[in-house]
Amino acid sequence: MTISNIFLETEPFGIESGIELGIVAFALILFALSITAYRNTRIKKILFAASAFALFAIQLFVDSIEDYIGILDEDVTGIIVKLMTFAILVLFFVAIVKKR
Amino acid sequence: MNDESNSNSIKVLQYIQNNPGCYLRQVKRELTMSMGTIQYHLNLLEKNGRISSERRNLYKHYFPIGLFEQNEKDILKILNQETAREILMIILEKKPTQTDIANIIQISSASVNWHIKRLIDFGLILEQKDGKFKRYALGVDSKNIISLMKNYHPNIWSIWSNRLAEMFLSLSKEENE
Repeated sequence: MTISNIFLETEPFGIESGIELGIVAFALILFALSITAYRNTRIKKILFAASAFALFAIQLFVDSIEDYIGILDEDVTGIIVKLMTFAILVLFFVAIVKKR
Repeated sequence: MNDESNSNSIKVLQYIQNNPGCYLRQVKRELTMSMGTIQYHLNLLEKNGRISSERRNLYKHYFPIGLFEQNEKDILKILNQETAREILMIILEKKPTQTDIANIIQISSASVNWHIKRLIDFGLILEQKDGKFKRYALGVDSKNIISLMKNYHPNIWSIWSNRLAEMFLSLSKEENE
């Protein structure tokens, strides 16, 4: 049995949480980078991308609340998460098509 | 202030005038004075409005007042951007057109145009007509720019944020030249 198998068998929950944490961390790093880029250049379209990265982190947070705490209704959370995904894509679209 | 202290103060000021963007340890190394003495003179010069400072990461960089006529902080912000520095380096070597710059740095013409406009606005470069072409030359003393670029360089965070901005700039469609 390889080390990764042992890990997968004993800590599946830990791996999933770790990946989720990594995604949130990257979303936040990208958010902070976009804010720095905006402050240096004042290009407004970067703010749309920054909002999308922030929304991405919030989306994962909402998803985690549903998974681990369960205070929200599963259907409601599903709609919120999908709306957020839609909003993220719209924000990226605006960031691309906006002139400056 | 006694003569010796006054002379040290002048030495420190002259060093900063010749090396804008230098930092404490660099001044200490070059002027072979004690850290305390240099710190004292730097504080005094800053208090008297002869120099200004800007903290970047672990270093505090010192600049002579009046190095540029205006927008000193904005100019430092520009020098913190990888692409703007590369453009200035090309302009230092020759008088390029926007197309030359875009070909050398391999970035979009929209991005070059945006940086060029900004550098002109801050008085760092000048636009010169050459037949049907527009060429660009330094608008400030090249010695100052070289010294600033040598002493004041972007950190990894600035480089990454600049690359992110470049990505969005390259998505912009804007007429240039």
